Amino acid sequence: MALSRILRSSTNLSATSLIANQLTRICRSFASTSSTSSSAASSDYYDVIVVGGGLVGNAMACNFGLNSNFQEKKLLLLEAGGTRSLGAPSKLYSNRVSAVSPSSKRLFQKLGIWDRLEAYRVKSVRQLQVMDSCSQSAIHFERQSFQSEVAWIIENDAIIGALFDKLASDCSKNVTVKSKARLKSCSLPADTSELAQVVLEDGSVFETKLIIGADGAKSKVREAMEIGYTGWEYGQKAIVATLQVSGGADNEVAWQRFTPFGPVAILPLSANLSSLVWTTSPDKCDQLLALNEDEFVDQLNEALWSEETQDSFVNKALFTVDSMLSTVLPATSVVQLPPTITGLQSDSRAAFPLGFGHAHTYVKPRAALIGDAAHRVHPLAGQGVNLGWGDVQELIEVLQKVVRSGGDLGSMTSLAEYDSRRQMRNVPTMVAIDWLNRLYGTNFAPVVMARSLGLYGVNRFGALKNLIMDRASA
Amino acid sequence: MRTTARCRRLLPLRADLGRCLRTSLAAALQRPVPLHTNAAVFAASFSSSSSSLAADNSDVVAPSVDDYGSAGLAPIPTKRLLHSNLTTPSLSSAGGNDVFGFPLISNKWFKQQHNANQLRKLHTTAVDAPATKLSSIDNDDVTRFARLSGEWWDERGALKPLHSLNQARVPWIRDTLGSRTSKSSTTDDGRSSLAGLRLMDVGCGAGVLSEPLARLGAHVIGLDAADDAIDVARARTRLDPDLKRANIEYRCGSVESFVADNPKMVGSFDAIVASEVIEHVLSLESFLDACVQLVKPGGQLFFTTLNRTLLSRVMAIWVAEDVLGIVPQGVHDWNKFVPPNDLAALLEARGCNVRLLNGLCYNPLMNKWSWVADTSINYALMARKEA
Repeated sequence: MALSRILRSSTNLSATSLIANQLTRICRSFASTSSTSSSAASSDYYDVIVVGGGLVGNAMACNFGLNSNFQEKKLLLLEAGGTRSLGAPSKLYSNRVSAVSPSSKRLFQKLGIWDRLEAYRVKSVRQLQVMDSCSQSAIHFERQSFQSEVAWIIENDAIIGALFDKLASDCSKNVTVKSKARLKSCSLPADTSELAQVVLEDGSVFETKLIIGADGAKSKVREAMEIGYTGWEYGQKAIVATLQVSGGADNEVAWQRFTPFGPVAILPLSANLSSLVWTTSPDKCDQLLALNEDEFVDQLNEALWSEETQDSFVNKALFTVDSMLSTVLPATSVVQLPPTITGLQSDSRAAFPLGFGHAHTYVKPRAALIGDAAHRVHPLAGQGVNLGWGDVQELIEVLQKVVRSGGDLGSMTSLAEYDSRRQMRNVPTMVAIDWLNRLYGTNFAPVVMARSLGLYGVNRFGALKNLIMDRASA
Repeated sequence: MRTTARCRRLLPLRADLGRCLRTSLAAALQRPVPLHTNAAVFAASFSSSSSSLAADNSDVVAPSVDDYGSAGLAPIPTKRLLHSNLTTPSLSSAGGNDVFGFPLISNKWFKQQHNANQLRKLHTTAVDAPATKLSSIDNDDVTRFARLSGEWWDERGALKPLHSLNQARVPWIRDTLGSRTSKSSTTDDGRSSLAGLRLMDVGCGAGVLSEPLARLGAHVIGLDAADDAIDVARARTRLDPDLKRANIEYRCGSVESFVADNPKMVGSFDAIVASEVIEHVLSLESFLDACVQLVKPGGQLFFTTLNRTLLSRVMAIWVAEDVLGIVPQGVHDWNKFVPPNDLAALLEARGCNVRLLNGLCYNPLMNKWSWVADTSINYALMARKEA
């Protein structure tokens, strides 16, 4: 009796589920006919989807939105957090800043956000001074030409905010920004016969011709691309903070002192404030973060000024070489002394781990990587985000050629061009940065000697120095 | 069952071509992916020599068969060219590609491989093509076809050079044609530079060239005899939102039969494009007859193809087939390559003036084509029908 009832109820169940199935099928077919009748204007298709609304992803969306070639194309920018706006300057500086290179400045001018940023606050850097804690060798970069700035220090939040504002004001026609959009998965086809698909955690699905992964070092887009990736952690952490300094007249010099634990960089923010990027071992990092403000400042001054690790033999050798060379080549620049740190602007200390990462290819059919998703470097040269902005410019150039010749935005033939051009530019820089970090990660005397003489040599020979400077700021 | 049938059908084919070796047949049987253009012309030649084939493929057969095919080109009109009215497009106007000097050898090499693949597939296609299945295709079929015939749109596969050739030929066609429309001269970008023009892409395959031309605003009819390729091309028009909006349609058949079946379209096209096609055509004269008929008076004809020179013979036949063994022996017929002078003379005889002639050079390392002065391997030619 009971059994038969169960049976009956189960048959009832299957009948209802059958009806439900039928209903959903009808609904679906209805929906599909209605979507085909509304043609390509259906809301879930975008020509390009940028994943990640950070420094690089926003620049990509903005560049796309302002370019006349893409006025009939639609772009969707997915940002996991919220959008920000650039308001009045806050009293406190953010502890995350970027050293914007001259070519990145040109990009900002093209995007029409440079004046806005300058009105907010931008600190120009006229000189760059690199020192070795193990010897007296130092190098000094300064522009000889009329353009006197080496770089500009700008807070990351300000750049992101200015880009969001620009997107809202001038790009709303063809760029849609979706905030709080967390990527769940994306599926990429083997070739351009199908569209790529993006699924968000809230269940919404978008189709596109091209997914641009600007979602940082742990990129989900890169994961979905299933490409080779070489990466490692440096076993180093970087402490960032906003510092009060005294000493330099206008505070227009960016300082970097290499210590065996890692480089300490002091980047000017204003006449009496600087931003700190202190690379050190994880243990030392934890200790430093646990200290109170005064103790932390003492430790930092020691790291900047300490003579403990100086190698006297190397110094003697340097002195000899210098006195010999000075008879032929007069000294060109005077070594300046780093500023003295007097305190912190509130307690703005924070730390993050450092690593290296390199995607073996930046492209797949219907997908491309830009910024940290494609390459992650040590912050010691301030190059990371500038490489990303370089990616943006190259990718835009390739895509506008595609549009002008009627191609498919996700076509491999064109994307491969982006890939090879950017790899050619990025990989040597990445390798150089990695080697610099290794070269200065030791106090082994022969290495100290070699690097000191090398740094000295580069400093004395203008042509070589200019070459390096042009490369770093290009 | 299917395979043995194809085997049996291929036997007369082998006898017909005479030089097809076992290797190429084996390869063709292992990879029966039907691909490519101009099957009609081949089918025509098969049918003229083998009645059983003709029965199987009655409606793929081209109507007119001027059978001078394998012996080489027909006698060429004595009028020898022509240098006065040949001009060279500036590199910038034709796409502005970098010129890489070296790759003549590899270029040939690649081209050979690509042609061999296409020919191999063509043989199977021409013989095996089912007569009529061009009608209604549902969406499941669309995706299935797109996946099945992935090779056409695998930009890193056998047809890789054909895809990158777009970077040279689309700007070439766009700028040559676009300069005639007032609209494009006012816009700084090429988005809709071909708006309002009617084009036919003869031997369109799966639409590798038709699609970009349609995206640029032209009304494009893509014509190809291989119905599998046409199926792939049609499937893409339903998947790609750009193409849904664009004005593009595909027809299956030969250009000669198209003229016969669509008398109203004769003289209606602003331009005819036959890219990488005429080196496969057996009856170039009837092919050109049809093309010239379709184009408007004052309209333009665009060709890209391979030259018949000592260099191409050495690289294509000797190096690629005998020395390196990359290409199955006998698959490629150097005799069907068309020297630009011959093509120009044939066009002049049909009331067209050759306006542009340029060499194209492929760099396999960068997968990039560039415009060069030397036309001894690949070249592009544009002619204008007298008004």
